[in-house]
Amino acid sequence: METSPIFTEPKIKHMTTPNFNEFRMRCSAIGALMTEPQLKADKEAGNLSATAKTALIKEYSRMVDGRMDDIFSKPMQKGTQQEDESITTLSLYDGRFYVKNEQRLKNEFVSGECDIDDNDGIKIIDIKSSWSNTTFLQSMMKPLDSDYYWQGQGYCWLYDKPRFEIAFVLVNAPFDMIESEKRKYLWSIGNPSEHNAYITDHLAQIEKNHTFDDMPIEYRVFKHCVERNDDDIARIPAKVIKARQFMQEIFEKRISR
Amino acid sequence: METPAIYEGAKVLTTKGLFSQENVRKKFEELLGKRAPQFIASVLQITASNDLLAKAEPHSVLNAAAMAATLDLPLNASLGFAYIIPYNDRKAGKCLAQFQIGYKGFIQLAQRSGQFKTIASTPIYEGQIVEMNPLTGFKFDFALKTSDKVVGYAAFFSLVTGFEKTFYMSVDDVKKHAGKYSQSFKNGYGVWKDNFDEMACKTVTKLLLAKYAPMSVEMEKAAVADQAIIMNDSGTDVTYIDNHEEIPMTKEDIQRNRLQKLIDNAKSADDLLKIRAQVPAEMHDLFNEIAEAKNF
Repeated sequence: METSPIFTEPKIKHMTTPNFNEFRMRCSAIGALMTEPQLKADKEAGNLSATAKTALIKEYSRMVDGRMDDIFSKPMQKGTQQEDESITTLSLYDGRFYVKNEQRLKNEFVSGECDIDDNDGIKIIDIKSSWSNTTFLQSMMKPLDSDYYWQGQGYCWLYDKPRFEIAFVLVNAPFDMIESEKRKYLWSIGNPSEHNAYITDHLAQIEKNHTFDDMPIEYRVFKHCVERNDDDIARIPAKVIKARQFMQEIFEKRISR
Repeated sequence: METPAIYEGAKVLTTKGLFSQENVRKKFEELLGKRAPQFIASVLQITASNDLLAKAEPHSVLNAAAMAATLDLPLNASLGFAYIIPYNDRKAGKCLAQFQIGYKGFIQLAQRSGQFKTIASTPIYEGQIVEMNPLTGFKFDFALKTSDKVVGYAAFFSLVTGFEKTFYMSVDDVKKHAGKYSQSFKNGYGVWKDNFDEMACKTVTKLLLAKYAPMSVEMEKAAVADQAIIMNDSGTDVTYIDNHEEIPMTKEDIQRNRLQKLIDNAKSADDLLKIRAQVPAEMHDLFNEIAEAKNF
């Protein structure tokens, strides 16, 4: 999972004019940047879509002002806390010894840090720890999300690899998280001092929903593969240049007020 | 594997070196008599065969071994009486050896006291609980098992005086207990993760004895020293490092754990060769050490 700095100082300091020409799109956000605008004229002019602008406003908020949305979501917490467990599960599934990649790469236009840079020389892998059995099955049954497709193109470009794999992995939620879910349920029914059979069953169900040791490993891993597409990669720089201009616009509008 | 070195004055002391010192050998002879050399050899073998334990501070290994010798519990893992477990204390920047007693160890000590007629513990399966009374206790019918689902763990003892007691904890209670007392359980690794049944049986046995049994001096000592880093060789000064310290696994621990699981899963020598080809060169020694046990 590509992580973003949390609770860190903004990269670009206030009161100085940021140099947006050095802005690079994170691989995980390239997908939004590459969405096409609705109007034909905008499309032909290579302008940014509304989705791209929304994503860039978030990037601006994160980079310039050090403010981030949605950093405490439970799925994200699980993903962060269980990352190593997910890599181990994928290692066992593939029968390959994987090591967490800690090298963040950048080129002139994009930056990113994939989860695994496989030493087979062919692929890089990103891992998504699914929140629940349902979200895992949904990821399995849906066609590959375009955000992941573009994230893969970004990584293939950065790591110079012909293939990107995105692995959805189902691992247990951390103990504290399961206990927190149980407490939340008990709180919602008024913290009864005694647990009847219904409550005990409900607590057991919460635990079952978040633990998967009873499932064979083959049921707990699913992969989408993305082949490198140099034509699509070649389209990224023009959009990043537009993104830089849009961020400059945000900055100027703010200081002019 | 080379054991870690500590400096005593100008001399470098390894775990092996520490155990070869005259005063140390004498101490074990006092405790174990003629069995001392065999016991020391088993400690050194355990230390050498465990990468993390090999890094542990020699004196913490000595104190944990002295506790096992004091209680006269062998450290052979296959017997399950007592263990020396490494703990990587990142806060202090060192690896320490922790003494842990297995539930069979508690049972052994209880039997030795001469006061127990029976003592046992077991997982309880769905359907086996026939009565749950908070005052008089639990009753089980082991013939009524309806599925393979473990719902709890029970321990039981009866004394020669006729007093008997059963203690039961649901799986959820055991997990809460583990979460409260073991950081490694909360983080999803360690003996609780790898050997839940045995740890659960130990928990109910230990709590049953602590709450209801007449404790011999040895049993009290064992209860205090269990899961502790022993700070002196008499075992009177202990600290429960796993209970309150945040001990996240190091990157090396995680990779070792992953490699161990991958090697455990290997079905043939060919599989092992494929795995070895992916392992970074700096981990080849570790790979060889773990793979040796596969014996294809």
